[in-house]
Amino acid sequence: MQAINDEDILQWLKTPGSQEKGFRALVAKYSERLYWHIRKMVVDHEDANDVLQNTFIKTYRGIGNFKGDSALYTWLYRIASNEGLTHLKKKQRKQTMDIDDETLHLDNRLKSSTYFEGDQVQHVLQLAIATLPEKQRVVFNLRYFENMKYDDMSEVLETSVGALKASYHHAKSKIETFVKNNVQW
Amino acid sequence: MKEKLEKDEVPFFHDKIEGKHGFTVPDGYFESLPDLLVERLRDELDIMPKKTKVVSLWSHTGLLRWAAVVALLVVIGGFYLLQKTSPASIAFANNETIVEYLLSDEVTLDEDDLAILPISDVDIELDIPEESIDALLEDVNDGELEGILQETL
Repeated sequence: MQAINDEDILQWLKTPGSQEKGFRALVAKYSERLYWHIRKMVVDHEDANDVLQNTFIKTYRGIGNFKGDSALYTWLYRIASNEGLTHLKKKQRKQTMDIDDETLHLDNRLKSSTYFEGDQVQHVLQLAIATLPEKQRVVFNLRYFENMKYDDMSEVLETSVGALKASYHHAKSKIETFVKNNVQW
Repeated sequence: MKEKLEKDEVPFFHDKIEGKHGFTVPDGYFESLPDLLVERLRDELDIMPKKTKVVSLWSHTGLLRWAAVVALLVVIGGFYLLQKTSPASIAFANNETIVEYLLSDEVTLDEDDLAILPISDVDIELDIPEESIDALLEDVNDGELEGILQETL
């Protein structure tokens, strides 16, 4: 099936009578990528589903504000990242655990989750990522798992390329230490 | 959009996991997502009109539907005609109709039949000639007649 181009999607979304067609095309094209981006931030499938739906709802409502200064996908990633970060902040406000308890709590969630099938290294990697500050987690995930270009990441996170590179290297260093200390090699 | 990691960006455990995170997703999740989202937007914003299912009149199911409608109309029409033309739709007839029918020339009633006719609660004008009434009362004495009148009044 030929991929639908973003210009067509935007045209349909902005034209009365073809908005549903445009919206369905948008979801079909971007839902999987956005889902995995969000999932790596929030870990649980149910949370990722909520955040993803909110992302698309916000996209539809705000389509009139999209000026085309950036690519459609970087705009979508920005909305998804902000929704994910908002979700994490809300969750943190509700929980009053220290970092060790949070790690233990996540450890249990991953072990009991139906939708996590990682091996020991992948399991410990998720625990390591969870110890990072939220924005640094996003930087690491986008660079390491999605190989996103720093220029695109800069548009998504509205942060300079230099700051993002530094953030990634810090994150990588912390994660490697955590994984070395917590995996039986 | 994507670019390969620089050497110094690759963590030491990369070969072990090949960049995979280990998360999975429920079967059919992405396929069902568009319908779910469209329904949600429809309720919230009422921007997308409901999709009306267009059924062609000449499609197989369309023809069947029309046939069902016609059959129903024939049955209803038949019932209606049957009631109008048949004198014996007892279930739908009121007492007035029944009595009128029974007093018509189509039916012959004897005295016992007449006695049980529910004419007391029916407003019917019985067209009986005066001579016939005199003839009927010929064998009835005044005392009997008074008794009958007292019972009915």
